[in-house]
Amino acid sequence: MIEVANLQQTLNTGSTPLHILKGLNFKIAEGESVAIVGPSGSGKTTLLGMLAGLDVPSGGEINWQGQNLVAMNEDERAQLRADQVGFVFQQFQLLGSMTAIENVMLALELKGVKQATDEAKSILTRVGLGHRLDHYPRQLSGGEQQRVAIARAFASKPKVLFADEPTGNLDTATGRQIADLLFELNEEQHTTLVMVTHDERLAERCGRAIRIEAGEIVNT
Amino acid sequence: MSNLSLTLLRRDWRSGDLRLMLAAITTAVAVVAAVTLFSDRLQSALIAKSNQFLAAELVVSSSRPINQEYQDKASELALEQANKIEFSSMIFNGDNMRLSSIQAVSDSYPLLGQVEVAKQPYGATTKLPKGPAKGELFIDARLSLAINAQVGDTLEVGDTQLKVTHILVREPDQKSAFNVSPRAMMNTADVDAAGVILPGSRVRYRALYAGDNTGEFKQWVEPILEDHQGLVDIDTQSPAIGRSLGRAERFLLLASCLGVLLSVIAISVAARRYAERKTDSVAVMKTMGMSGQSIVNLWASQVLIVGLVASLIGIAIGSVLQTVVFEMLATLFVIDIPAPTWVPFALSIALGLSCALFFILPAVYGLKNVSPMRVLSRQFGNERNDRTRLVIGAIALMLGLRLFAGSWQMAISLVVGLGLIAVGVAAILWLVRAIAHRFTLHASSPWGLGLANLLRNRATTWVQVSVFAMATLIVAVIVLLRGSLIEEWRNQMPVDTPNHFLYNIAPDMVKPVGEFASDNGWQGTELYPMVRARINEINGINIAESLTDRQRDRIDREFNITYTNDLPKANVVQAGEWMPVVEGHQISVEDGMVEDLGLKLGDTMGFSIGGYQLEATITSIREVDWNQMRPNFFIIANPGMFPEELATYLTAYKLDEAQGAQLNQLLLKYPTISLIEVEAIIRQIREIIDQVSSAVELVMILIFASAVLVLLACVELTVDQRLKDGAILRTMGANKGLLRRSQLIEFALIGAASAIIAMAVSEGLVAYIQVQMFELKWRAHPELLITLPLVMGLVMTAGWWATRSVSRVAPMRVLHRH
Repeated sequence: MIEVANLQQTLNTGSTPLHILKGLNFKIAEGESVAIVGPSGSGKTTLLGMLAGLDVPSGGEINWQGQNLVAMNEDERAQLRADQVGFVFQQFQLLGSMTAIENVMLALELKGVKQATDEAKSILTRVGLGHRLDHYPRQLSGGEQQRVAIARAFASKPKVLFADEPTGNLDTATGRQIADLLFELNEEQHTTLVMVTHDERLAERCGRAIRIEAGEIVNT
Repeated sequence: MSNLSLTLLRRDWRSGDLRLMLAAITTAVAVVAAVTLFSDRLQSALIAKSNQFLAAELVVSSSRPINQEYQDKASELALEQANKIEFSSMIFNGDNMRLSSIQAVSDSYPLLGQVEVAKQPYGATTKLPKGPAKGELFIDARLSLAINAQVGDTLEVGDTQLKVTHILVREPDQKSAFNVSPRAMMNTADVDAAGVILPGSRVRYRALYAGDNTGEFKQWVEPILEDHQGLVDIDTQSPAIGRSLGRAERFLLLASCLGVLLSVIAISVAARRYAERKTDSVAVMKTMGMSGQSIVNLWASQVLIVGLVASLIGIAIGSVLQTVVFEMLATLFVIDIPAPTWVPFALSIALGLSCALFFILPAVYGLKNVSPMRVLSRQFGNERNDRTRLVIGAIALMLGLRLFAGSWQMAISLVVGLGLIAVGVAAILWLVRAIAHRFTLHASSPWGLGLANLLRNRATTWVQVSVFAMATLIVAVIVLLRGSLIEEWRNQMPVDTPNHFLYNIAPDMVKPVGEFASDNGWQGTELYPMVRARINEINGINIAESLTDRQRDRIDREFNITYTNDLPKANVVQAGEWMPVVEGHQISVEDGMVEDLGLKLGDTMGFSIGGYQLEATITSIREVDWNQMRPNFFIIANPGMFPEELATYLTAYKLDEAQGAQLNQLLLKYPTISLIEVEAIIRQIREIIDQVSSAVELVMILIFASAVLVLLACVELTVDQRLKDGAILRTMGANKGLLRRSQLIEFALIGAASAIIAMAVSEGLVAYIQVQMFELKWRAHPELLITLPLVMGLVMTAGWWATRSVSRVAPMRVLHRH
């Protein structure tokens, strides 16, 4: 599904260049669930952004089912994201000016889905928020907001779901419920899951973990 | 995409982010729509009305018959035309005769306005749409009394006999020049038969034109006018009205320009905040696969929709406002107020869309470059394109102002003025920071905290102080100019302005007339002796040789000359000395005449009067304020130059309606006294002043609305940051009271700084505008000091209100949200 070869990211800050990713190589198979783990500042988030095509590396290749992500322009990468990618973020990243259902509908509308309202309603009901469709993010608890974000991510039936510390902003119990939901939906939709996390227990639930320290893979 | 953009627009609208921008564009458009609609209609109404004083829209006047080609061209342009021939001739009633000023008019005269007549001298008047038909004669009351002729009598004019059908009271284009001879009006068809116009006769031909294409005709005829021909339209005929109108227009234009400027500032500030608030949403949408171009398309279409909707609302508000004002004034207009043209509407829509295009779009265009990585890490910011925006904005602003105000000078000086404020504020901030560095600011005191906050966020402080100062400046300029304009107008036409001029008062009538006046409580001006003399020599050379045709045409008539040792009011000596001690006779000449005839101090002028030939030296040149309705003279001589027995007297009274009736008794008793009523023209000028004053008030309200929007937009700009800072400080133990006090101090300081800068700049700017654009006199404005507490109060109130949740909302919630 995704093949990473000699992936490098270097920032030119002043006199000495800062190497954030130092030539990473790994593969992620379709349907696999992979955790990217490592201490703060190790380059996890940068890697996730590169894999999802949110940013371009300074060197190396990322192949998405044979397509080189690095060679694509921003619009092509945007199209790839629109077609195949879903996200769940630590900060939820719901649009504050929209209600729960509108946030989910937006993802569907951007894909040009006609029955956006019905589909959004159904998936929000699936994540247990059927009664809070018209609430704004500020009226929802953290756990509820992350449920909306999960519903939004799965609504467009992505091939790959990228999750950045999905439980990082939640208490332990809520975090566990959210993780359950994430894995359930992942199972149902046969999505490939790539997750950045600090949480070892969450990492253990994934099929495999890629451990990064100081921009290098220490074990996979 | 358009469906999505509408959906998003609807969702955005609910969130309130768009409202401030919409309100700002709406205000800009409302200001422009109201002002342009108002001045468009006011202009048409006033011109239409003023033209009645000309009996036409345009008049060609000449000492020889008017060229046939003018008539042909006018017919080609489908203009209405009338002719008028003015000459003097004896009118006989049996053995009674009198030299009279006769106007022969064609059947279509007057093109505008009506001829006022009566059945008997000083009787009740009626209005006729036409002058006398062939064979008819209208005579004025003085002629009627002088030769004892009544309506129905047949009088001789030259070789023809005409029947008196009306007593002539007033024709629309009656000249206010004082005529000694009585007046009569006949038809041009009878002129040949009368045989009174002979080679060498002093005759004035006038061709009158009116119609839609008058402007085109004027452009055609102006360059081909011959030396002996002159062009008269409302500006030349009635300079007082023309000038008042011109000033009013310039003021309204300036005011609306400044109003738009204010709104544009509000729009820009609101757009910047809008774009900032949208940054996160755009990053999320990008992760969902939206391309940069789709983002731009999405927001561009939203911005255009907002621009369009705001324009329509603005036009509606503007229309309602100007209609309300016109309705209040409707009773003042005799004629119908013409419907507005399409121009103001087109202009308003164009403005609304331009605001969206040039001041909002560049801000949201930057969203294209927001990195989607921002969803993962805040360090991926939004690269702001402030400099590009500033350049685009400044250019658009200058072009717009140039288009609107019609002057590069004004456009550039406004933009440069605003730029200077921004630079000045930056300099002051730098200075304050340099001084503050020497002291330790204690965060435990509200003053220390407030000041430190301002200095730490220098960029924001700079934007806020600059914007508030600009807004204050604009409002101050408008208020000051409005005050001095209205004051100037009112001074021009004070309540005791005389509305009746009596002249031709023989020396032996002066006493009885004076007694009659004081018995009836009339308010009068001084009594001026007046002689009528012809200028026949300049520097000893006959004017036939020393002057061009056009110059001679200017003075080829009898002049009313007064003599006095006292410089009359509304006269200012420009050059020379007022009546110095000299040998021989001396005169003081009006500056316009000096210029027209190419005269200078020390030149001599020769006058012929009643068989005398007199010569006098020019010892002073006077500027005369013709705007003031008082007796004014081109030439004033020293007492003793003209023989007293040749003088008659001139005086003017301010009479109410009842006193006007008493006037008729006086005129019946002394039929040789002549009267000019200027009530109509005074009333007209007053109306203009009133109408324009209310237009000015209207614009003021809109300007204030724009200023408040600027205030809100600017305070809103920093609310997010303030909430966040407040929350952090509270987690560190700062109490609510300290926070609120320090914020209040911040706003007070911002308000004070903007007010002080604005006060200084506005005094200078107003002086410049007053002198340069409105030809008014400069004076200091101590009342500007009120700006300081006013602006401080407003900024503090708005700031207090906008940040009220700082101490109410739990810090955790604020931090969580950010």
